[in-house]
Amino acid sequence: MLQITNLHAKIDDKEILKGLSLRVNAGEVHAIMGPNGSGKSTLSKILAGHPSYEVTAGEIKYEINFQMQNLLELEPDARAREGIFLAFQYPIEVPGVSNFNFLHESFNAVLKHQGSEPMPDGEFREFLFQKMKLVSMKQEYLERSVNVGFSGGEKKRNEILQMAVLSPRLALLDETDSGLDIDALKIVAEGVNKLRSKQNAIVLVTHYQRLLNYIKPDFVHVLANGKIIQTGDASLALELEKKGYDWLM
Amino acid sequence: MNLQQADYEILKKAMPTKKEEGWKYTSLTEFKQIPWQFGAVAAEVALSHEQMQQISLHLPADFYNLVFVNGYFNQTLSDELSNQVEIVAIDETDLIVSPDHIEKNVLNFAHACLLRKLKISLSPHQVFEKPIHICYVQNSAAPQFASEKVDVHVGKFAQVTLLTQTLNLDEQSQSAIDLQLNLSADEGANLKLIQIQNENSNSFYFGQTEVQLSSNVQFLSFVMTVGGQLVRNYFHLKLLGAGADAGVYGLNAISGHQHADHYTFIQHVSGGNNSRQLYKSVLSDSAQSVFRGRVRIEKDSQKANSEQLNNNLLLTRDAQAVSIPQLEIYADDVKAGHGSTVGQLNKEEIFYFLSRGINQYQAVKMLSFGFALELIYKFESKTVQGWMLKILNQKLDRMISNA
Repeated sequence: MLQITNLHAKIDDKEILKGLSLRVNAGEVHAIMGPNGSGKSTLSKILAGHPSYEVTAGEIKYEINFQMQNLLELEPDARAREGIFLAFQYPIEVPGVSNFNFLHESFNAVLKHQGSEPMPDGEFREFLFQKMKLVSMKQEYLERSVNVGFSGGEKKRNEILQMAVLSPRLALLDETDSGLDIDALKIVAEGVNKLRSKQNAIVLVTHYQRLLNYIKPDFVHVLANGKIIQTGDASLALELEKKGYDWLM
Repeated sequence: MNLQQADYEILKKAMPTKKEEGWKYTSLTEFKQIPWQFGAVAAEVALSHEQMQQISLHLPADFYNLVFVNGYFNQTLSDELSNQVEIVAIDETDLIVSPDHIEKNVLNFAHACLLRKLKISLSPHQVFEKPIHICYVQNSAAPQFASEKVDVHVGKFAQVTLLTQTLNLDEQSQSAIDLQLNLSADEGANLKLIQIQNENSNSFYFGQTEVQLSSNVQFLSFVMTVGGQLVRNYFHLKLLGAGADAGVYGLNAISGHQHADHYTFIQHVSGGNNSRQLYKSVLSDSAQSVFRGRVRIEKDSQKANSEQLNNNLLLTRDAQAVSIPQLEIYADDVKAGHGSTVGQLNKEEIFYFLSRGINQYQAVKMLSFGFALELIYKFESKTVQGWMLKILNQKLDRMISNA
């Protein structure tokens, strides 16, 4: 579904990714771990199309309509409509735009792209209530401005709600576990696990092994100095937890 | 009033220039070059069936609607007049203009064709349930200038919501209107005023609103400028009694070459009362907004509170916002604050929308709408909110598809 080859990328003339390669197939869950500043967040932002990053070499292919296509040619909103979802490390507060309107607009944009009619207000509200149960969110959060006045945990749950609503083919979770207490972590993990299917792939970017107790990855990669330097199964994460990253570098 | 062409040219020439401090950022050069006609011909007052239908789209059934077409009251489209709402001829006192009035030369010009006015009086404790909506429609092939006046008196503890809207029937014609609004509210009254400039982008609007509040009056004012080539709004509020509370709000959502100039003058004549001003602009293309917020707290107005804020959102490089706070404080025990901001949309916010599949235009539109929304929510009535949201939405749809 996703094939990254020899990716080099920079921000403000600072090279962050230095030849990263990664292949993700449908149905797989990948965890990307690594020390601070290794480029973990950069990778997920580049996949989502953040305008501050510039790809200087390499390629990213993503499967659209059963064909591997050049992802870098797509605008960020087009990528989202093709099923790429980034759960933000720091979800953005948007005063004046209600959570309901934001979700509805987003959902209808995807429907429209798929050639379907927009879903009317009432029907979408019912659909949302079901999804909100998944992440234990109260209905009143729909009328509030997006992420404004939300606690850290509520913001992360809101990201997972958005993910559940859009049901992406490729979900990128950028340190979704950071700043969560254990209850919130379980809720988030449960939301992610419900999304797992043979058709979808998930890439988790995380600092800590903790999240992987709840979401079991098929692959664990270690990202250091802009490259993947080690790949293993779930046991690699446990080893990292014990030994740190130094032994790999 | 039966003015000779020569007199009219003299009055037009005497209209303000940018040399006057209060008019420094607004030019009437183009206005002065247009051969304005006063007084519509009968053919233009009569409306076709289609035109009637078009206007009626602007007349919500929940409102008490009063429609003027080219200066003439249209009975068919309007609700019935009554003792509270009447049309009367103007008299000499209507034409008095103070020589130090900042808009005196606009008023002198407008008075040249002012024939009648609308008079609204609420007796003490009277509650006018429906919002009164006064809709001024301009419809003329030749450039036409209309002059309108509304006098409103709200008795003790009476309540009313007053809405004015200016419109054209097409996008091409060129019109101008001067709307004078005099409002006075007696003790404990509750008065809400909304003025919407919704004409086409070839037209001119001059407004002079004079408000006097007695003690314990609750007053809410909102000016929303979406239409007009040039809009100049002069707003003068006098707080005459203790306990009066005034929220004075404004919003420009303008694009193309539109220019909106809001001059507010809040005068705390007596103490122990509050005024809060919040004016916002969403500007695209090469639109310009001017906000001059003058606050004067007189010597005897101890314990007066006055806040003023002006926030401007520029969607394009060529858009321009001018903000001039002007505080004159003569009492020593008062609170007075002011602030202004000019900025652009946050790039991270836009990326957040894009990352959820929402395209750039829609993202900018939703964020602009969000920026403006708090002003509309100052009004509790869902009917009134819905009416304003629709007008704002239509404008943002138009201005952000080509931004």
